[in-house]
Amino acid sequence: MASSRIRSLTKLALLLGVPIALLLGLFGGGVYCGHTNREAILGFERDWLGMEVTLPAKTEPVKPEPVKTEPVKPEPVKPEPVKPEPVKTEPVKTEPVKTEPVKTEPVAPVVDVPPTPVAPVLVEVTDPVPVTVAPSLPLPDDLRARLAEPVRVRVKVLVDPELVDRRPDWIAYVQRHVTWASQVLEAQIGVRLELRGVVVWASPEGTSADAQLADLQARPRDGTDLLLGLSSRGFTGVPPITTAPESNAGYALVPVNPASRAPHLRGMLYAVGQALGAASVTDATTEAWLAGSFMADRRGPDSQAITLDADSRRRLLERKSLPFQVSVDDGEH
Amino acid sequence: MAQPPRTANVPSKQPAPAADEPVSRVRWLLGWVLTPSLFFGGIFLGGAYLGANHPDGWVTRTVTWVAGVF
Repeated sequence: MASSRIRSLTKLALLLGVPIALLLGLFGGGVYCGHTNREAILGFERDWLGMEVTLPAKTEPVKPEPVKTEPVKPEPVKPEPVKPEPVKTEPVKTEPVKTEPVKTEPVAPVVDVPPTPVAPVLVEVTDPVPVTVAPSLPLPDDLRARLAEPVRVRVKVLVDPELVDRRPDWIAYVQRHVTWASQVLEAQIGVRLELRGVVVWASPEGTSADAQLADLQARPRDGTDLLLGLSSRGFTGVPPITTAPESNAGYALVPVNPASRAPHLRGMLYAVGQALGAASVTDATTEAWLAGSFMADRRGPDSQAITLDADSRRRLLERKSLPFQVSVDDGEH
Repeated sequence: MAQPPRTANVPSKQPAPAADEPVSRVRWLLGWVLTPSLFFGGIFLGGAYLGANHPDGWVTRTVTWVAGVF
């Protein structure tokens, strides 16, 4: 009687327990996977789902390479047979060769000099451009030669405090955008952007875009070619930049497209394009505007590939090698 | 007296199996593939979300501790 009850209770426990254990195991496996691949999942949530997620700072611990402290093998010292000298008839003393145990002094772990702590700015960006970018179109011969000329533009970025408050990863954010913009510009006009500094832009809040641009122009560039002000404003009201015929502008305001997966990418391309002398495409009926040229003063949707219209491209290719305007701090010297 | 024709025991006509085949295949896919996948995938993804977004929660800590035992 008792045994049959125990048996039925066991059956019941198994019947209920096994499925529950399986489900818990599945859930636990998910938790473990989520925990171990945290950065990738959070990156996906941020870039593809548009969720407000704070990515953990990549503090890759400097791995001291496992120093192999191979125990020094005490080589068996071979007692060399001492050749009996022919002169001496004395029995050759076969001195017992002292096989001193080779001291296996603990080899000091040769730890490489730890690299200087890498500033977040220098962390390599591996994320691909999250927005569709149209391949660059073939060029005529004269412009093809221009495209092949590598031009490096050193960039310093000032970041709107609002963006800094909203995105704790604002340095990495800027770095990603500069890298993506550089990839697009390199393919289209052979210009590579090099990020040299990221600082918070303590610009007066609530000011107009004109005032922001004026504030930007009054700031030193610290040896860089171009000062970009990452704004929380949209494209509307961004003042056009006038460039001198013999030089490119050293300052530009970067508008934002909050709905995009790369909110400042189009704005950054637009700003760099303006600084290099391309005109803003403002006519919404033109082919360039409709085709999604990054010189259009619009928030292009992510579904539309980023392009560059032929006129702007020609202009940028022709002007990309010009020097940048003199900076405020250069003028003081 | 003529008896009425006996129709009560005549088996009802089954629909042709050929016509029913696509529907049953969809049913099979829904019942054996899609629904279980959604169910179990949802549980797994829920766990992954929890592990990624709440790394310091007790659930995640418990799971990582258990995983560390093995």
